[in-house]
Amino acid sequence: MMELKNITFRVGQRDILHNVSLHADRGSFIGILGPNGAGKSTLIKTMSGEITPTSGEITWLNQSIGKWKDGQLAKSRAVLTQKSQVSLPLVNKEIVMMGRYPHFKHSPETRDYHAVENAFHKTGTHPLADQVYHQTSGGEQQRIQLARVWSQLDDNLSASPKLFLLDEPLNNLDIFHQHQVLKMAAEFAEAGNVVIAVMHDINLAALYMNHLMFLKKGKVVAQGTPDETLTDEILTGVYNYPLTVVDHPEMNTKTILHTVSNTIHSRTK
Amino acid sequence: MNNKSKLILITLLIGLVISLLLTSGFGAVKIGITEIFNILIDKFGCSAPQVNQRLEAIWFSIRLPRVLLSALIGGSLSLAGSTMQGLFRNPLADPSVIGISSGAAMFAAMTIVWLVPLVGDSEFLGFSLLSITTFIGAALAAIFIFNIARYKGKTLVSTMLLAGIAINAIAGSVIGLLQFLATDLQLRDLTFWTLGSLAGASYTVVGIIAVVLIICIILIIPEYKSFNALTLGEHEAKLLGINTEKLKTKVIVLSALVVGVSVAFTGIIAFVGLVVPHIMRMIGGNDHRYVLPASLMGGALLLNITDTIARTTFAPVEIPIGVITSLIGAPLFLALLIHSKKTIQS
Repeated sequence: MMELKNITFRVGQRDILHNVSLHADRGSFIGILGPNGAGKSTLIKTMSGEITPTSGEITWLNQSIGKWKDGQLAKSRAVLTQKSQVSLPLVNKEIVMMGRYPHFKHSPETRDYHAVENAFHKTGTHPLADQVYHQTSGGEQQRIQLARVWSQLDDNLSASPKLFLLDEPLNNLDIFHQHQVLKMAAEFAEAGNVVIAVMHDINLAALYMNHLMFLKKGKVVAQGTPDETLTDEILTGVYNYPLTVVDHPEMNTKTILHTVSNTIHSRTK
Repeated sequence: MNNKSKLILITLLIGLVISLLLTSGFGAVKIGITEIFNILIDKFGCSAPQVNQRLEAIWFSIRLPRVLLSALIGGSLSLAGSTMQGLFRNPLADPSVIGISSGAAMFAAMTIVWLVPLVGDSEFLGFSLLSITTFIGAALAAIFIFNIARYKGKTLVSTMLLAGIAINAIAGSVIGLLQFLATDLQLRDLTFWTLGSLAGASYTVVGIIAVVLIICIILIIPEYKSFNALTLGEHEAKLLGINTEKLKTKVIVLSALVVGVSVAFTGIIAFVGLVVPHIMRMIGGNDHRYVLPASLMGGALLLNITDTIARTTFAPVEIPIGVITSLIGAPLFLALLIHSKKTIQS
């Protein structure tokens, strides 16, 4: 399905990504984690076809990502980028309709309007449909952008799997909406698609995702199921900060605890 | 497109037809609307009531080409303005502000003073030498501005405006120098370029501009999805399957063509491409599916009315139309600048 073989992306003398490999099957919900500057966003960009790696091969549905036609690829994969700005004060439903652009030639058809409607409902942004994008809050804008990419992958005409790439999808979102987004993504993966997301919250990643990849300085430090990758040793090494992994008291997964030095903590008493 | 936008477009179209009919009656000899209808019926071969042959001749050979030209030029400049604004992702990108019109005018001046005396006023495929060189001037200015103002897929607005100032200054001084070198006859032509005028209206000119404009309409208006997607940035547009490189080439070539040809026949009529799309966005929103055709028709309507004011207020003397559009457009440009201070800084 999605296959990355020894991806290296070099700028000047520096390897932003070094020998990164990843395999994703139908139903995979993959988290990419790691400290700032680890190359997480760059990895997402190589997978979306936005940048071409210096060496290595990326295939989606058995075809090299560079060989896909832009228009075809846009129907098969969608990307939620980190900073989505809109340069003109468009109305939210006009923005969500952009997700349908790969699907119609000149005028939107009934199924395009349905997909837009569906995306608004799914992301809970329906009340914002007629508002101007610039007059909504940061979190709302993030959910509008999510609705846009969601409508892009809404396709009942084709049974072929879809690739959903999310770069820090939880930015600006409160806890309720963080879970809403992750649940959407998990269900989408479950339906036979591939979802790959850059994450910062390890606990949420452990709750929803079935494969985690830890990057540091462009190299893969560890990857596997949450149970395999979440250990004190790996996490402390990746983040350069002492972290303790414990069993989740209610769920069959692991969760991490932060610790601080006693002198700082005593001030809160 | 919502119902409000559709309503505005229909209103503009009806308004334009009415305006063309009414304004074609204004002038030294006033021709009433019933007389115009009679002339039209007579021309289409039906048995007409009494038609004054003199009025018919005036209306057909003087008034009609003039009002048609004003509408075509207004539509061309506004459509070019709204497509440039779409490409630059900024409402300040106007062909006259960023130097495309003056690039064209500079080439026009060089052609009149240097090239025409050398090779004569030759024609190529029906297009005069002048319209070809002005197109080249407009295209060079457009390519230059676009490349200088873009950085990592974004438009640096301050750079775009400053580069526009520089091109306007270069063109201004070259034209000034040429005026110094020109013969009296050439000088009259040059003044015409810099102030802008529709007095050169004829059916040939109307025909050429109509052809160019129709090509632009066919190729540009269906690209509304691309322009909308571009508001998210070039990378995001690409992720939506838009071929941004193709779009850029298309927009630059077509707007240079339409601005170049307009400048070749009517000189610099500034700020039309800024004012009209701005008004259209204010009343009907920013969806390019609406903005592009609305700018086209709004520009046609506005320049038709402005030109009528220009030629009738102090008749028989005409105020150069470029002077009027600048008088209205420049303050609005300033207002826009003040309003968008935050975005300019970034």
